[in-house]
Amino acid sequence: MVKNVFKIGGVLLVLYSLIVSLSTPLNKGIVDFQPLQLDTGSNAVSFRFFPAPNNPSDLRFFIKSNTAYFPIEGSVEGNTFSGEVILPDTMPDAYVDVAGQIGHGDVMAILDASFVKNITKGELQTDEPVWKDVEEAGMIFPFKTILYQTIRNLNLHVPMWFAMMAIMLWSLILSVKFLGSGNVEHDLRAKEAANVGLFFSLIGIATGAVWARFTWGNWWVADPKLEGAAVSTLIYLAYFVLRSSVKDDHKKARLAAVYNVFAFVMMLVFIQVLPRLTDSLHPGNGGNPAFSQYDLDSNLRKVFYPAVLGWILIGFWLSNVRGRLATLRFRIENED
Amino acid sequence: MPYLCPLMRIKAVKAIFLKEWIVERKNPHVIGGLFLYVVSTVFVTWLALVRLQNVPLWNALFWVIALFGVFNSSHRVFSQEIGTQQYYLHQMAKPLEVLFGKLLFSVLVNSILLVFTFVVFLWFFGWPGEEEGNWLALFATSFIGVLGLSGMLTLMSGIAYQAGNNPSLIAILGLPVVLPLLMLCIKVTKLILDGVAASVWSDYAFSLAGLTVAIIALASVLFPYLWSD
Repeated sequence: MVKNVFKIGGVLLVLYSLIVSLSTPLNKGIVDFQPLQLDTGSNAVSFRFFPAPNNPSDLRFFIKSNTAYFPIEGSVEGNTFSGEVILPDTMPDAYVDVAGQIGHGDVMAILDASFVKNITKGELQTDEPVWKDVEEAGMIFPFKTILYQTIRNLNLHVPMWFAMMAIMLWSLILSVKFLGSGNVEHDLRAKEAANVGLFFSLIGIATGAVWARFTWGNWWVADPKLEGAAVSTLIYLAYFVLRSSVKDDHKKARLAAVYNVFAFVMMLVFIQVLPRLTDSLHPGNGGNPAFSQYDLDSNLRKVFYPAVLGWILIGFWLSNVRGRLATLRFRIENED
Repeated sequence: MPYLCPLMRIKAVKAIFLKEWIVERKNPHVIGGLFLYVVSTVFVTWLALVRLQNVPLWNALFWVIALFGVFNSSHRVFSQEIGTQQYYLHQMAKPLEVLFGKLLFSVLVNSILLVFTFVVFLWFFGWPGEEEGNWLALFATSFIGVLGLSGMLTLMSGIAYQAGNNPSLIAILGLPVVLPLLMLCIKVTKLILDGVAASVWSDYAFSLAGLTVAIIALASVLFPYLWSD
């Protein structure tokens, strides 16, 4: 039972992360506020909200300048709202936010949505609108323009790379063990671990390609992280080419172990060091905000960390099963 | 100075270096072929482009042609140890002496190859930058790059030699692992050719030097496992 804990735990964690990350609703949000510059007096404005409301009858939207709220009168069509707002000559701040609510639900906002020209700064206070029974926010994923619903992919795409690095590290440790002991079975286990790591990297590339298509507009973009992914896949494909080109088991094990150690270090340099020296589209590199700034509400983390742990455990299980199979085959072949 | 360190005798390193030198002098066509490769490739590139005043393109072509030259030369490192010569080397020298004797000769050949490629590039395409560049920095960083490339490819050549002396295996094994080093080389030399201040490229140059040291250290740790039968 005890030795099965990590298998059951891995499966449960992955199931939890898949179910929760697919079923949790996305926060509501407003996007594409137009125009970017407002004037005093009457202004025609429009924006879209997300997702489209079921019952668009009861909407209230405001332009908010610090303490002052100005109602936007208008109507909704699909998920586009267009209307009119009247702004006074004196306002507390020229940078204005948009805030609003549809029916009974969360209050949506865009901070610094627009800029008002020709105003004089001065004190002005209006009543704060009374928001109708704002629901207690349960498990909810943050709303991000560009990402929208694909933010869920975070819990599938990123754990693949964590799992791959963990399994490749395990493969490296087994290779070093082989170089120390000369026991071919260590090398067979290292090979199977590399096999599983390669599998994870292929899934990582596939899920990443779908995500890149949606957010950056193409299946493949010029980005150091993608180059790193491609190179590490190539390195381990070369590892398998090397293995298949040597017949003698002991010699094969020795050469493969040496290449594995060398390749892992070079892969680490390519994935971990080089992206920090150049610009990247990925969060956390080259001046982009780090991942932790994307989910201040920490709900994503409740799914993300279990997903990482679960996939790593499943990876170890896979490589363990495959490694045992390979060593048993090796023993049977060498019996006679 | 009989022993610099217990793992390696300077005399033996020198002897292996000299052995390489003599073998190459007896077969001058091997290294001659490398130089011919460089000249003909640059000539073909020149026929296709004629004018090349674009610094990134000049730099990238230079490194790609030099890289394949270095790949070709690295096949030479172990391939001449045919038949029982390997056992003779096993008897006479320790693994690290073999590695460093061959590595030093390889660095010499590759440095000459790189300088030659540079001269041929200047001959056909001229100096790419707007003004006189920082020659010393260019040669220093390129030399560090060649040191790293030679270290890495000597190890890969050793693996390919043990795996049946298959020349295409060096390219398959070497290309993915050589990329981090190559990207750094291309980046540093491009910045130097652009004529930017040293403070801009010095970070990259230090990374390059660090990577080179790491490669040679890793090669000296791993080579004894490769060489012992």
